[in-house]
Amino acid sequence: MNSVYFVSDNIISPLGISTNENLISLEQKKSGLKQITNIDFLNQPICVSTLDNNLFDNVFSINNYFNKYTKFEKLCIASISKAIETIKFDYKNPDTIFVLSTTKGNVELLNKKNNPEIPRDRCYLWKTAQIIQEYFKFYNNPIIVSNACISGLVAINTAARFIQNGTYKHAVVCGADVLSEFIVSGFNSFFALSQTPCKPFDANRNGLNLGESATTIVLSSQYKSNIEYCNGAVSNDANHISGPSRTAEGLNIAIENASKNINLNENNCFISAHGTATPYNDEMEAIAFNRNKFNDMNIVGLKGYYGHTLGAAGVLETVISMHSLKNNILHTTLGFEKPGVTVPVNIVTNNKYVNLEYCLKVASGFGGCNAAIIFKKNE
Amino acid sequence: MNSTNYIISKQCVITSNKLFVNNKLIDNYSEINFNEFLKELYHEHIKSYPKYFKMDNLSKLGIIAAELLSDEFKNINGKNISIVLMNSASSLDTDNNFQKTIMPDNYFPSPSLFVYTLPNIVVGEICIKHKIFGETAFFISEHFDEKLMYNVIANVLNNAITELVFAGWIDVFENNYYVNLFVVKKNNELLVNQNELVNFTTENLKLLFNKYCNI
Repeated sequence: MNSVYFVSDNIISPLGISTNENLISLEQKKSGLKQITNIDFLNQPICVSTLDNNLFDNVFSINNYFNKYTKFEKLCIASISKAIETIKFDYKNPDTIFVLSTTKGNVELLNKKNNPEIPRDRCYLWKTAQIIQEYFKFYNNPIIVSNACISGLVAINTAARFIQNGTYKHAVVCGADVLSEFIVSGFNSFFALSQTPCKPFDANRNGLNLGESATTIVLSSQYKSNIEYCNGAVSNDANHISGPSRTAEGLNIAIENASKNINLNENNCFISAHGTATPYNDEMEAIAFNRNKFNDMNIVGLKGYYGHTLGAAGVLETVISMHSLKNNILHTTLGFEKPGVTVPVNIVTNNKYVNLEYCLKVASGFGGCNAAIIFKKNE
Repeated sequence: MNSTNYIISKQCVITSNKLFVNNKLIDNYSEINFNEFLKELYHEHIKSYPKYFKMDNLSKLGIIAAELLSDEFKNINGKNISIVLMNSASSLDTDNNFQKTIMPDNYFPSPSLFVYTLPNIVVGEICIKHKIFGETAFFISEHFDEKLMYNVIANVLNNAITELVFAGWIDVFENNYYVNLFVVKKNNELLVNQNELVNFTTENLKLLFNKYCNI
């Protein structure tokens, strides 16, 4: 079995257009969340982390045809370009697979009034993936993963397994979602949105914030880095399609299967939680960590910086977490003040400078799905 | 275990108001529309699961196909069963319906519809009905990608935890639909009807898929 290394990455978010800009903002505890009051289709404010539409005109002029792309496609193209330019490998050869993780892609095109110049078949996720593939001239057909909020981790896991068994040598994994009337209306109908910056694991948490990002990670068996993929697992609660399990059965199975043969403890590992700041999600996660005796393990939640970036979240939070291992820094869980779950959890409340070996990244989503991946730092 | 020891043990196809199990025509309703067909399939094969009527068409089709393959899951712990599905339209059929509820002159978004605007909800519905806790994944592809399907199933079965994979194609957009789901598992000498079994190979996945494309 081949070893899989995380060799390059890029984050485009309101906190920056490079991973480094994002890491600097995080260390300074800057959040991308802003309250917006004048939304024509809602009669209440929302708090979101959105990318300025003019970002592309000012910063990216990738080529003259850039206007034929949607915001989603521009974000993916910009993020992938930046991630692959730093390692200068021949990504056009058959050894490389492109994996796209998204929940809704160009869903705003379902409204005829939006982007009338863009052909409507771009609502199909395979079509938008094809457009991105053609831009880069990737050799293989893209793999498109759409598994609600665990999409990013399923994408990384799928790519890593293909590299482990030698099907491919490199994988370019891009996770992205953009906000639309569609997504905001849907989450709002669930009463899942907080009107103020979210408060992961906090006693006063009252919902999530939505966010936009495109994040790319390059996995390889040929290029080396000191961050290595260890294992990953996915599971289902078999309980409810829109509510997490009260016993955390599904997430517990994912964590157990992923950490089989690895002795994770508070002295060698930290958890990058899903931490959406909805009452039920955070409680369920806390129970899963408790069932695995991770009561003292450091837990970081990043939704207070980015909101919930849906199909990007798993990739975005993995990239931040691997840099946490590299740079020996655990970021403050922005929004958390006092514990609000029924079991003990050790939430990181201020930037903590520690040297750890492992990160356990978890996510859960609609459809009762859960995912856990583990990666490590080699000295 | 080498993937040559895996077999495709059962297949269920739903297309053009017909339902086949292991190549045998089980239901054939030529005179009714798609929604009536889905109702008939419920009364014929599911009977007492009223939740079915709250589901979108993608989930209804998945629930029917899973029921017809479910005797294969019976003696296996749900933690050791995996689901790998693929389609072209993702949840666009329901996305379109949700979009109609957020137009400015007609704004009434509902959470019970919004939750189905994700393709993997059908996976969750099948897991709930059959108590399946294992690995799940949903892939989007313009056409049935037998190579990706083969590789993902082999990767899951090569992992010691998974004993059986419920997999295949499940696509619906308005009145067009095609469901071709099957069970792949580790070969076991105790199995009867050996002649009905199909070796798990990329070529056989393609053959099983294409056979029903033009019905």
